[in-house]
Amino acid sequence: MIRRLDINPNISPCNPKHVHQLVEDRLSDEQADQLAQHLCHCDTCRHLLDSLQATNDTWNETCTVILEEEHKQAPSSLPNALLQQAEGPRLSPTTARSVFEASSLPKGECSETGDRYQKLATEKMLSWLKPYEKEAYDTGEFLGKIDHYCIRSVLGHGGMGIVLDAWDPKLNRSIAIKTMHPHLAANGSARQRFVREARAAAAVVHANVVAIHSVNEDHYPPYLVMPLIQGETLQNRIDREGQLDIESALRIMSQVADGLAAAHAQGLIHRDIKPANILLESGTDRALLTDFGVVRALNDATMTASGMIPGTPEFMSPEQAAGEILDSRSDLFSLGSVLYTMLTGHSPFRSDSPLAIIRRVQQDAPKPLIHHRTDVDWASQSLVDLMLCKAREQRVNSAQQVGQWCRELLAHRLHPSTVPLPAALQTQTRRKPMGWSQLLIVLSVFLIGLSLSAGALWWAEVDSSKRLANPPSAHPSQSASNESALSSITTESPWPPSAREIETEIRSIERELQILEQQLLKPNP
Amino acid sequence: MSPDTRPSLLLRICNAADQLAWEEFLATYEPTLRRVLRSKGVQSADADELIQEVLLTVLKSIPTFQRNQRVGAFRRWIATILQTKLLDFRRRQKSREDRHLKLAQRSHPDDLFQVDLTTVEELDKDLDLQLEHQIFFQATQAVRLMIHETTWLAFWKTEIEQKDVMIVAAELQISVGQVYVSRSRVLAKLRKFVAERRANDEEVT
Repeated sequence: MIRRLDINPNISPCNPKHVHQLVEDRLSDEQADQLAQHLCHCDTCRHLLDSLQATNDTWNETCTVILEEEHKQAPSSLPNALLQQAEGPRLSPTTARSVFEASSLPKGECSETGDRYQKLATEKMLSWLKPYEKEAYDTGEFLGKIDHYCIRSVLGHGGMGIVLDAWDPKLNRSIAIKTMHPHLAANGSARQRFVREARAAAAVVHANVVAIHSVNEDHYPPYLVMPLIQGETLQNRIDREGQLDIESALRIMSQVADGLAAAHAQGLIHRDIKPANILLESGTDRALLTDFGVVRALNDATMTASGMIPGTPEFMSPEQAAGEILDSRSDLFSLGSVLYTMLTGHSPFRSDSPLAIIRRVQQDAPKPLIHHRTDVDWASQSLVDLMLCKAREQRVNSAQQVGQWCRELLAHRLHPSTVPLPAALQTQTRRKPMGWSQLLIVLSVFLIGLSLSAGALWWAEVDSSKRLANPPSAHPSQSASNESALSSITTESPWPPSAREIETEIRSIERELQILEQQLLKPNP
Repeated sequence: MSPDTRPSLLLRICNAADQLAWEEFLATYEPTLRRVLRSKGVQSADADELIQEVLLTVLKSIPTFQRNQRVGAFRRWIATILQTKLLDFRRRQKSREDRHLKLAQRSHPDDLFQVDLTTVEELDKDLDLQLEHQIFFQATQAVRLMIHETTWLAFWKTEIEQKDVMIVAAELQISVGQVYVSRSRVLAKLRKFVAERRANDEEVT
């Protein structure tokens, strides 16, 4: 009935062949237009089309997957009011790419593949930047804006966020902006944690901690404003130079430990101490600790993100790897790993899979520093050992202490005659690092020595009594009385010299054993 | 595109220098593996580790993979790797749980092997399905760039978001017939893309 009313004499009659051709995408544009007009009115042809494209369960599932993946890949297409507000004209992919090529990106922990993979993801990430309208007073080239901040370039990117070099036109200064990945920001609890951790970190005011100027949680995605530090990360320095000289390592370590102590005093645990989170200011060589818990806060939410596993467990503490509740001592273990890395050029627990690394963090003792460099002193080794104790009860218990020891050690290295070594590092050195195998060797050498000397004594005893029993016929006079002969053993010739020789022999063996034992206890050449 | 002009992905990832191929492989298989593992009840953090292990194994042992096999051999090979890793993972998980429950002494040694065994066939089937989804998703990304935005939206809103044709037509200010035609054309392009990709990826000669 309806159909008849709708029929327009100008409309072409039903042509099922065209419908089939449409499904196979073999219609010309003109034909398609005609069919479109026809379909506006013809229920029969619509039904035919529907039946030809009948959906099944697999297709429905595919649609769900496509929707999910779309949301992960391009968060800007999320039906989110905030988002639509933030979404301006997008950066063209070519602009975004040139941004990457122009800016010097710090080499992260990812492989090259992962790096490029991540780069693609970051290009997508930048698409939410507000376009930048050039104003009369400015000279620079900007990529876009976040609120009133003008974005100059990308400083770095990771699995969880991106760091931008920006200009604050209100205060006329350069700043660094750290944002969350938009797809993580969609996760409400991750956003809350980001902001909460930022607030906590902002409370730490210390020369060796990167300050947080402000945080904006109302923006989508939320971001932090930090001072722009000119310099490089410790990771970059190690990548470039390999192991650092001991003095530099101690100097950096003492500063980082001080910064960490200030954070611990606020009850804050960093949870992600690693060389990539320590900045070295160029010129002054001031070391600054950054990324307080922020990364980790995000890390919990990154599991939906694409890409390889974002972080590395190399600098985790054993209790962290085991998923236990953490206290400040966890940071000290990580700090120990950083010190080890500075002294050797690589992290103490290396392996090719994250799982294997976690196993090593929990079980293996790192190789002694002496295996990697010969100029390391015993006190530095014991400092590293004290920090890398698996059991947190045995570990050094405060960052302040670490800073203190580093400074004392440094002073001792510079003026060995006037400044003594820290007492704790002297005494700890003797027993702590000795493994079971070493102990066994020392013990067995001792036992062998003991049995040797006992044997020698016994032999000497037997020998002398033999001589007593069968005295040489050349001295028949002296065999007259046993008593006189016995008394002469200790005082007079001819037998006394042999017993004395044996005694001195035993003494010298004992001395040698002592030297051996000392050498074993102290693997310093 | 015929397989002659575009070497198969498999061939290309064997070539260590072909960075793009490895990226393409990752972009396809990583989300695929993730969904398969999720459907097997593996939590996302564990899935991350497992995927990393599987991908590393693939990367390391790809030179030893026997080519010139039947269609689908590559996928099955990955399914085998995945099965081994999944089994290892479940054993580890089980022994950890046992230790937690202090059941280790009471349980029979054979219990260690009584983990939920997933067969290679099952994983291969799952991989096949999820791969299909993934390639369709990639098809949407590719096809979208080739066509007019309105055509795309007509497809997206009706087919993926399952909105009513009339409503979508009103939203986009086009006729109902145009919505139908747009949707059909996009679907046809998607199917073509997927068919080509699958034929190409499974081409193992």
